[in-house]
Amino acid sequence: MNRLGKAFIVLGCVAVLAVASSFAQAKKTIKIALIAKNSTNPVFLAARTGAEAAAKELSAKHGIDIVIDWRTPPTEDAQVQAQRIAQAVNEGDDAILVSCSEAGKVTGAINDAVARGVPVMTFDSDAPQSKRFAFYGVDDLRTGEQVMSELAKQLGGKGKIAILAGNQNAPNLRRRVDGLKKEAAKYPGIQIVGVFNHIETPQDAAAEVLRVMNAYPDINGWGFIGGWPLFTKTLLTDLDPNKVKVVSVDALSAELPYVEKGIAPVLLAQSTYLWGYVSVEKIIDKLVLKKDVPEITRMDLVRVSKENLGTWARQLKAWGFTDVPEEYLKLP
Amino acid sequence: MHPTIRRVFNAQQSGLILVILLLGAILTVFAGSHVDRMTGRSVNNFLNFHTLTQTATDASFFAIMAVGATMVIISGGIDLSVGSIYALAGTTMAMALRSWQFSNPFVTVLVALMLCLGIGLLCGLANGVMVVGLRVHPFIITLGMMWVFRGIAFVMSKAESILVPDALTSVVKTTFGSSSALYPLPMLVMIAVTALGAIYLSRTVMGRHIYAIGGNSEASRYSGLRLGRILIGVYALSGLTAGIAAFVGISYYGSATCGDATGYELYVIASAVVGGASLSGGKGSAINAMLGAVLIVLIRQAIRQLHFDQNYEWIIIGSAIVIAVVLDQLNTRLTAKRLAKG
Amino acid sequence: MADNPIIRFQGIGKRFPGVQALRDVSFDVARGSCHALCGENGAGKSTLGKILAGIYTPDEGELIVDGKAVRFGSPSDAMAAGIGIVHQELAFCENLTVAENLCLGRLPARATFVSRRELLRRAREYLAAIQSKIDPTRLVGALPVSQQQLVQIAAAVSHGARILIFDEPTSSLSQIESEHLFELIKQLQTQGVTAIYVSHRLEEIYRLCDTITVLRDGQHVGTKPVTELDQGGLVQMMIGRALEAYFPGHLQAKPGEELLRVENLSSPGKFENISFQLRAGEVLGFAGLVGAGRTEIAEALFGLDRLATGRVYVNGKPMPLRHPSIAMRHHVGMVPEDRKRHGLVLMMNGRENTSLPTLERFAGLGWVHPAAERRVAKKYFDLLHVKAPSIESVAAGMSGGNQQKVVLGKWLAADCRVLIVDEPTRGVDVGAKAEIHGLIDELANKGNGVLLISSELPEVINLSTRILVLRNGQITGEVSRANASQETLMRLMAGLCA
Repeated sequence: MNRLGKAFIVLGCVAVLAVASSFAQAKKTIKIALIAKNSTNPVFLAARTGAEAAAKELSAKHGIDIVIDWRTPPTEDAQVQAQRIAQAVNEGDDAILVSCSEAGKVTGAINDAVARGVPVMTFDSDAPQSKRFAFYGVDDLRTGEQVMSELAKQLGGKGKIAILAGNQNAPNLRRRVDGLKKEAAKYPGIQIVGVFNHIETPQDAAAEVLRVMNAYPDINGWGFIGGWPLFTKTLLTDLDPNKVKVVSVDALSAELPYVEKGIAPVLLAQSTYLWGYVSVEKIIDKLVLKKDVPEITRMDLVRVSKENLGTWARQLKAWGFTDVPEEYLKLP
Repeated sequence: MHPTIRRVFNAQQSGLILVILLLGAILTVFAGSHVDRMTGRSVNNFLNFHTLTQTATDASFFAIMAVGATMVIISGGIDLSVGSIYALAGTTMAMALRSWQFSNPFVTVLVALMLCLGIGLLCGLANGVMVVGLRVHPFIITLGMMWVFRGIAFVMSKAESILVPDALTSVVKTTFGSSSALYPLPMLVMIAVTALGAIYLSRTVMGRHIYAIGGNSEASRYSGLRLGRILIGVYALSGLTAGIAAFVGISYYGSATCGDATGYELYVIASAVVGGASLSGGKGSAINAMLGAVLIVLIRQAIRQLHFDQNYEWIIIGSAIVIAVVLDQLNTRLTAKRLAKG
Repeated sequence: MADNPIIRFQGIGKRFPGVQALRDVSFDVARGSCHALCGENGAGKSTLGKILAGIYTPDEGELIVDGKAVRFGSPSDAMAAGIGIVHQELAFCENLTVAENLCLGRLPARATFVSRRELLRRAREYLAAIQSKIDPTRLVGALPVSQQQLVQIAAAVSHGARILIFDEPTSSLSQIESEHLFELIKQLQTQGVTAIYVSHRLEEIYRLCDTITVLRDGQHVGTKPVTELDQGGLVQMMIGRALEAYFPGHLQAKPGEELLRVENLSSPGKFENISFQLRAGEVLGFAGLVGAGRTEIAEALFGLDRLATGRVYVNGKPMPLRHPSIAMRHHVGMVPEDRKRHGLVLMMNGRENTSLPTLERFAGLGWVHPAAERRVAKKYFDLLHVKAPSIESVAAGMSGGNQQKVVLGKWLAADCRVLIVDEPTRGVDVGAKAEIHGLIDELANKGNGVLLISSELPEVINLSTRILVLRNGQITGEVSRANASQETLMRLMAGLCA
C-alpha cells in the first residue's frame, strides 16, 4: 500500500503543473457555478456556451472577471447535484446556476447555500419550494399545450397519439405531459394511447418509439416532450411521414432532417443557449448591478418548420453549435 | 524497527490512511483559498470544516453500505442490490410518512428509522435465502434483485419524487446547537456503523465464521459451521446497512424517488475492494472499506478542486481502483514471499 | 535385465513435501509385454506411472525409452514419445463433445472455422480403432466413467501411443465393463502396444499381466515373471517389512461402555449395510484399499453425506446424520483426510483454525473472549509441539506435519468422546508421526473412542484394538489385534480367501 502513496506523489506533481497556471489572475473575480443535469446532453453544452459567452461580454462591459465554474455531474443524479452545490459554496463560488434533476433533493442544498450567502438561480428545471432568487425557462404547462395544439393541427383534429415523456422523475417533464393532456381534452377526435417513459439517451428513446409503434400500429401522431429520439438517424427511415406525424420540443442540428423530411413538420425549439446566456445576465444584474430581478422569467419557444429552417440553422451556428449541416445554412 | 511500530506500518489501514492524508495535503496546498463571505477571512478551499464535513458526508452513504458489502465479500459472495434496497427503503419510508402524517416529530423519526432498517433487513434476508436456498451464484441473485427491488419502488411510487417530513431532515441535518451550517450526523453515523462492523467482524463468533466461510467453505462445513444460516445473516446485514444509508441519505436530501442511488452498488463494491477486500473471499475489513469510500470520494473531490477537466473523472477513478488493488496484491505477494523465506 | 527393453527406469527418485515417494527405482519393461506395477497404498506405483506419463518430473535418475534418455516436461512431451496414460482424474473438457476432445489441439479447421464433418470423420476413425461405438457427438461429461476411459484410450491410440499406462483403471468399473477393458488391452497388445498396468487388484494382475514389479515404500522390491510368483509370494513382497514393536497403553485397559453403535449404514453407490460398535477406550481401525469406502463411511457418520441411511447411536442416544454440527453436539469429531481442503482455512492463523469448531465455547453472547481463545490455542500448540513461530502464524505457511497437528489440535480442543481420524499421518515426517500415534493412544486411554482410518497397515495394526476390513463398500472381516498381520489384512482387502 505504501507504493500507492508514491503513485499519488506523482499524481500530485502533475497537479502542481496544472494548477500553477490558475494562480496568475488577480482581478476582481466572480465565479458562477453552473450545474446542469448531466454533461452529455448537447442542450446543456449549448447552455454552457451561452453562459461563457455572456461571461465574456459582461466581463468586458463591467471591468470584472466573470468565470463559469462547470460542475455538472457526468450522469444525472440529484444527490450528486446537491453535493456539488455544497462544494461550490465551500470553494467560494459567488453564485450558483442549476437545472434541478429532482427538486426535492436539491432544495435543502439550495437553501443551505443561500443561508451561507451564495445566491442561487435555477434554469430549465425549477425548485419552486427553495430559496432560489430566480428561475429562467419555458412554462412547462404551456409547452405541453403548444405541442398538442401543433400536433392537432397536423392531424386535422383526429387520430391516435402517443406521448414520449423522458424520465419519470423530472418535475418539469411531468408538467409538460400534464399540459399536453389538458390540451388534448379539447379535441374529441384525438385519443391518447399512452404516456411512455424511458431512459433519456437518444438510443433508448428511439428504441422506445419503435417498440410502441410495433405495439400500437395504428398510432398516427407523436408528441415528444423532449427531442431525444430525433438525435438519432434511425427514425428517419423507420417512420413513414405519410402515416405518422411528430411534434417535438427542442430543435437541435441533428433534428433538422426530420423537419425537412416531413416526419416532424413542427419542432418547438427551446433556445438552450439562452439558458446560460440570460441566466448569467440575471445573476450579474443581481450580484453586481444590484438590480431587481423578477422571480420567474419565461423563455419563449421558437416554432421551427420548413419555412424557417435556414434561419434557425444559422441561429444555431451563431450560438456555437458546430454540427449544423451545411445544406440547411444555405436555405433561404 | 521496533516490532509494534513495524506492525503499525505494515497494517493495511496505515497504507490507506497515508494515501488519504497525502491527497489531503496535496489538496490543501494546491486548492487555493477564498474569502469567506460571512467572516471576511481568507479560507483554504480544502482545509476548512465545511469542505471536510461535506467530503465525509458524501462518503458516508457509500461507506455505510460498504461495511455491509465488505461482509458479503469476505464471505466469498457479492451484493449488487444495495443501491436498489436504498431506493426501495427510501421510497417506502417517504410514502408511508406522507400517508400517515404523524404530528409528533419524535414518532416520525422513529417510524422512519424502523421502516428503513426493517425494509433493508427484509430485502437482505430475501437475497440471503435465495442465495442459500436456490444455490445460484450471488452475483446472479443480487443482479436480479437489483432490478426487482428498484422495480417495486418504481411501481409503488409511480416514479414520483416524494418529499419527506421536515422532522427527518432537521434531525439528520442537526448542527448540534452550533450556528455554523455544519451537519456532522451522516459522518458520525458512518463512523458508528464502521466501528460496529469492525467489532462485529473481529470480536464475535459470527464475524469469525464469515472469514472462515470465505477462506474455505468446505473446511468450515467440516468444522460444523452452519453455512446457510451464516450466509443468510451476511446478506441480511448488507441489506441492513443499505437501510441505514437510506434513512440518513433520504432524510439528508429531503426526498425519495425510485431512481435514488442508481449505480451506487459499484461504488460500494469499489470501496470495499480498494479497502483490500478480496473478491475470492476470506479477506477484508470494515474500517478499510470505510477508508476506501473516503478515498474514492476524495479523488472525486480532488478532480474538481485541482481543476482537472471533470470529464476525466471516470477514467481517474477507474484507474485508481485498479491501481489500488494491484498494489495491494503486490504487497500481499511480497509479504508472503518474505514469510516463506522465514 | 531383458535385451532391448522398451523402457528402462534408472535410479528414479521423487520427493514430495514431507515424503520421499520414490527412491532409486530401477527396472526394465520388455517390449510388447503387459507389465504390472503393484504395491500397497502409497508404495509409489502411481507416482512412477505419472512420471512415465510426464505428469511428474523425477528429481533423480533417468528414464530411457527405446534406448534414448528422455526428459518429459509435460504429458504432451510423453505423448510425442508415444506414451499415453489412462487414469481416474481424466483430463477432459467435460463441456465438449467426444469428437472435440479426441481432436483437441489438432482440430481440423478451414480458415479458422472448425470443419465439423471432418472432425466427426476423424473421431469415428479413432473410436473404430479400438472397436468402440461411442457416439462422437455426445458430451464427454454425460458419458459414464467406463466410456470416458475408452475415449481416453482412443485419444492415446490416435496419437500413436506405443506404451499405454493404466492407472487403477477398474476402480470405478463394473465387472462387465472391466471384462471389456481387459479384452481391449489384450487386443491392443496384439497391435504391438506395451501396457503398464498399475493396480493392487491381484486377480486382475494375474489375468492380464506377464511381468510384475513390486514397489514398497517408494523402493523397488523386485521384478518377476508371473509364472515365478504366486499370490502368496506377491503379498509377501508387497508387505515385506517387519512390524515395528509398539504397544499402546490403551490395550491394557479393558474396553468400557459402548460409545458408538452403527446399524445398517448405507449410502447409494458408496457403501452398504455397515454395522459396528465402538467402546470407550478402543481404537477401531478401518483397513481397506483406496476406494473401499472408508472415508465415505466416516463422512456419513459426521453428517456430511445427505444420502446416507441407517441408525447411529452415540452413548445410547440416536444421532441424526444431517450436519456436522449435530455430530459435534453428540461429541463426535472428525479429522478429515484432506487437510488443505477440509481441515484448515489456510489464510487463517493457527489460533483461529484451532478454535473454529468450538468458538462458541470461548464466547459469551456471541462475543469472543480473546484471552480464553489464545489460552486454548496455546495449550494445544504446546501439547502437539507445533513448530511455528506463534499461534498467530498463518496456516498456509506451515509444513504439512504442523498443519496436520493444528487440525488434530482443533479436534482435541473440541473434547470429543468419539473421534474419527482419517489418514492422520499422511505426508507427515517420522517424528511428528510418532507424536500423533502417541496422542491417539492417549485419547483412547482416557476413555474415549477412536475410529482410525489409515492406508498404512503397520499403523492400523499397531494402534488398533480391533480392525474392520472393508472392500467395495462392505465389511469383509473383523480381525482382532492378536490375529492381525499385514498378510491377513492384505488378503482380506484384496478379496482373496484368507
